[in-house]
Amino acid sequence: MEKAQACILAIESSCDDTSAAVMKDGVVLSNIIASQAIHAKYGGIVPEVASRMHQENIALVVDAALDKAGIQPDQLDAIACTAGPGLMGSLTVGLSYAKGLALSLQIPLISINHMRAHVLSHFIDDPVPVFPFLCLTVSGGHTQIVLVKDEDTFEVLGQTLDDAVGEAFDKSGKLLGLPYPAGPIIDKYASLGDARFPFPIPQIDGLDFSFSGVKTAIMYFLRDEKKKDPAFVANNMNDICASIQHTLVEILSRKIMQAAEEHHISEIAVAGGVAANSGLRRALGVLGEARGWNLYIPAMQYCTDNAGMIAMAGYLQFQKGRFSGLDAKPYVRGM
Amino acid sequence: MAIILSIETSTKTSSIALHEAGQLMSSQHIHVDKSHSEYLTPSIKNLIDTSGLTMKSIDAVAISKGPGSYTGLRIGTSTAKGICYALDARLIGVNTLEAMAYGMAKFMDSETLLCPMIDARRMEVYCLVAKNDLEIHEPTQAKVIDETSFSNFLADHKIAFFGNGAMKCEEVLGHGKNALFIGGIDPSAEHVGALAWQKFSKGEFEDTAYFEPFYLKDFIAKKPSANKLVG
Repeated sequence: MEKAQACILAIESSCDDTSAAVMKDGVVLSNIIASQAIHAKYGGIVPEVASRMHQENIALVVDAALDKAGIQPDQLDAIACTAGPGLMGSLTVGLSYAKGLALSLQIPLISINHMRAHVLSHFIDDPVPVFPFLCLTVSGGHTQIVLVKDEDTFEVLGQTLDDAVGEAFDKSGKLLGLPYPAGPIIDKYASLGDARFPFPIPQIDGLDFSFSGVKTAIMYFLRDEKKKDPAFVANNMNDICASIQHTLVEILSRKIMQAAEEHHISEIAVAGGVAANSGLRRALGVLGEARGWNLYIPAMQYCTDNAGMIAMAGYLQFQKGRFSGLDAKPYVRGM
Repeated sequence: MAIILSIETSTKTSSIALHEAGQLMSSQHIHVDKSHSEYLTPSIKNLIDTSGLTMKSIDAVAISKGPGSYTGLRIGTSTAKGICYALDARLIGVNTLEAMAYGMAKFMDSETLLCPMIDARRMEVYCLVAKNDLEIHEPTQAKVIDETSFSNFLADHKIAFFGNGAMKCEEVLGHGKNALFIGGIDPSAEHVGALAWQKFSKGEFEDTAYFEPFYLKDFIAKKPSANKLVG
């Protein structure tokens, strides 16, 4: 692809991370992410708190991104910003700020779909997947398998019917008394344990996912075991975590394997914050080796919510001259 | 002379105004619920264009900082911050209720107290009490209205109650002759801009990066509940 000359500032504020990135001619010059640790004390994301934190962070994060990139506002060619899906209040802060910038600098606004940007994060660094490829997007808010035919054509083949997989990790951790977000802690303990407690794998039609049944099974399992031994959780933490992780990873692995078979595709990409999970990486690595997949996992800074991927998506739109009006509205759902 | 763009989004009314040295040049009001996110920025562009200005002409952005709708304040404040950052313009914060009192003062006799009210659901309002010269009698607060509210003032003062929180209070407060209720009054960027010019003249600016809306209430989230089955 011929690379257009363009300097793009991207903003992402769809959930609880405020992020800004600068991309010049397709290269990320900066990718600043301010995470909101405050939600840990509530045991989950509180939307009003997230919105207020974005308001506190937004100007500082954008300034830091431009500063690190060594770019002045008047050198920018476009502003790319997440318009959805996400939390309405959170999206509103980033999008309103982006519009204020675009209006004042007299440059185009490019509104970006967060889920598409997760997929397009694979184009930031080499090696890049070859079309058509499958992308498993897994995070605290989303779980889906997308068939990516080209950079504009996405078909959601399957998605979660209830909780996202990251949510399943966090909620399971809560049952174990682990602090939010529990996913990384479960991953750590799991590496020290054996997956010797079996939890059921839900049988869901097609390529959709369900995680709520697993969560309920874990809840009853813990209740019953604690009746027998009140110290059960403390004494078996590593094995419980290994069992939970094994189950959740198995659910993801089976579906991506099924998708690959049904669509005869061996280009497999993983995106989203749960791509950091070492159990998932290992399982997909083993599967990929056995089945001759080319497996793509972006650098961690582009897996979790980040503006670098918004810049990438914005750059692709910029090359095609596709811009958004200043009347772009945030939206809660949609691909 | 200094050009100030004023933004008022603390209620369902989205209002913007341009002032030159404190004199109103142009303004626009959209009284459509949930329209801020979509129309605020295009409206500013339109107002700038029709006023024969460019964005670069703006020296300062005045934001009606609240109290009011959290969503409205978020949209207004984030937009204002973006504009200020891009243009290297100053940010001025104006108390929404003070701007409303300013707008009403010229229609009232000098003895009548002013009580702008913004609806905060049920019988609660955000309000303040000011004298006609805008000296604050009772500062901005969230108040649950009952029969005894303002009785200390109403005993010997006329009070004008206005704003979108006022009319629901009429039945409860409408005793005696001293309570005056005025319907159909919405916050206006015209009044925000007038007060902003006073602040501009005195050099009273906000820190653009760290500025936050005047939410009035801290947000208190419930602590996570222990899981009863397992706990």
